[in-house]
Amino acid sequence: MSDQEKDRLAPHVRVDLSESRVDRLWGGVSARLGGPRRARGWVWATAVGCVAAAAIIVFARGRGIHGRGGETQVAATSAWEGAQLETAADAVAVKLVDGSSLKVEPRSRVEVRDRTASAVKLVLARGRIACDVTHREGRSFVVAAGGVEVRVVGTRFTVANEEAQAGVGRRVEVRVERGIVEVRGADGEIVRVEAGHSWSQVTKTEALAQPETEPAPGPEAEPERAAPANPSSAAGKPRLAARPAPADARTLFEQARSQWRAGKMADAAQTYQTLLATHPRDPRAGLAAFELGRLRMDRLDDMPGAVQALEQAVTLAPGAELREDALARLVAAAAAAHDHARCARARTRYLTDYPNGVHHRTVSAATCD
Amino acid sequence: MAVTSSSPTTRSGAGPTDAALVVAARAGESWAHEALFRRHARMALGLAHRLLPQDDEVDDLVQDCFVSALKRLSSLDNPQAFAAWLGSIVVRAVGKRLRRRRLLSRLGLRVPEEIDADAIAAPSVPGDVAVELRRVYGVVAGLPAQARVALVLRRVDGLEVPEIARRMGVGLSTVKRRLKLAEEILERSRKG
Repeated sequence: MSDQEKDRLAPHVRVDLSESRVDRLWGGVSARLGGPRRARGWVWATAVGCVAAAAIIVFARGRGIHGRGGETQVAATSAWEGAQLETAADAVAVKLVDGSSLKVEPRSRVEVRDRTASAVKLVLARGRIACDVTHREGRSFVVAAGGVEVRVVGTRFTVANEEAQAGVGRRVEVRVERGIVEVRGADGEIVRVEAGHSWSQVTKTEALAQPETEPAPGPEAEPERAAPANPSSAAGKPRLAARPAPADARTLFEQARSQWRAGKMADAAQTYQTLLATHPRDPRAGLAAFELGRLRMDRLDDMPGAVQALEQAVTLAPGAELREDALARLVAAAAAAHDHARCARARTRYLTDYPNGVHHRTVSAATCD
Repeated sequence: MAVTSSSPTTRSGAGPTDAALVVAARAGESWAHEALFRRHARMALGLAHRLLPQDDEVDDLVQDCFVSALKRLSSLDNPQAFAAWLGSIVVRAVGKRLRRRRLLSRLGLRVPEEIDADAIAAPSVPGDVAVELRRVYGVVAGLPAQARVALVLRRVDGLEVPEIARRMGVGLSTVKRRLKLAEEILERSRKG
């Protein structure tokens, strides 16, 4: 057999390389990266003895879900994407293998929107859910309801999504029993709610099971109040206003990623900009600038903005590798923006600094004039 | 940077290099882990499948390899060489698994492996390629673990001896010896 024949054998071996298989494998890998090995599959164990199995309906829009009611086990976290948990007349408790537990109140509906062990996202379509979340390093835990997002570190809290009084819109309420949660209102404002306090908002939006790509309600959203969770204990005490708190760089970075994934490109760009403005010395700043440049270039068609961000990325990039990517993109963005001088400068810089760079051919072929 | 399989095509084609992703992953960015996984999952799966065809443990093995690689990124000297490094992790993991299986088989604790060589080739493969694949996979189940890995990397993946040595973590002469043994058995099967 000649070398040529040998080279063409590998592509002809029958292998299932389907997207679903890759997704499933990633579910297992991400679970194991985020915690102990057994975390590869969540065990959603219905643990409330008084709850009849018939009261629980698990809609399996996702794949690979085995079981219905009772003890439900999945092969990988990704299988839960799109799954919905709905209660009828009784509440149901669900325990995750990391020790976190959820209590879904009667007549509630929860959808599992995110699928990785490093990011859990539940969407409360209606009703009320109580969460007791175990802190796990590197894992974000978010509950969304009616355009409101509650980001959790490790705490116990309740989210309610109910019809507002007078039947106009929906009222989302967050009560914190332990720890602190960060709530992003439908108007985009971020507030921190501490233990013993609550926060609520009325929105006119339909809610909650809407796709994340829905535009934010904006002016229709009306923040209502922030007050102690226990009204009786509030007597004689001034109401505590929820305090806006600047988010840290990691939170902003993850938030921008989530917005990007949800298709909220302008929001993602704004969040990256906020990160760069508020945390310019953070190790993520270079990467944020690079991502902002990519976003403006590929999705927002904002070439001058992309040039600005990529120049910042070249300056801030922590490692030579990222700098190389940023510089290569800078050439392309400046060319598209008809900024000939910048394009030529960047091209010269790239070809000088990276004579054997991976983008050498693309950069060499760029037309700067 | 989108990490889904449907990553948008960029204007410049200059997506982040493996090195950039490794740097980000080392900094603790979970999205970079996923990006690295999605970029190289099919390579790792394909390689593992060719070494362990029709094996129901391939998924576990590939997952083990990625977990191991992503947890040990700090030990990767050249971040741009992530793919080759991952490939060597897969190759060594397969070798280890094959040796363990062979031992279990000798102890009577495992049914010897059977490979359906006729089912290896994908549909619509040219006839001569199908014949060659059948021939190679007709003998691999009976080969010593390391000779088998070397033969598949040479005959199916088309790697040169130095690259096989790097992937297997052994010297050139060791690879040559193993290939010689495997090729002799392959040749006997051709005549027989």
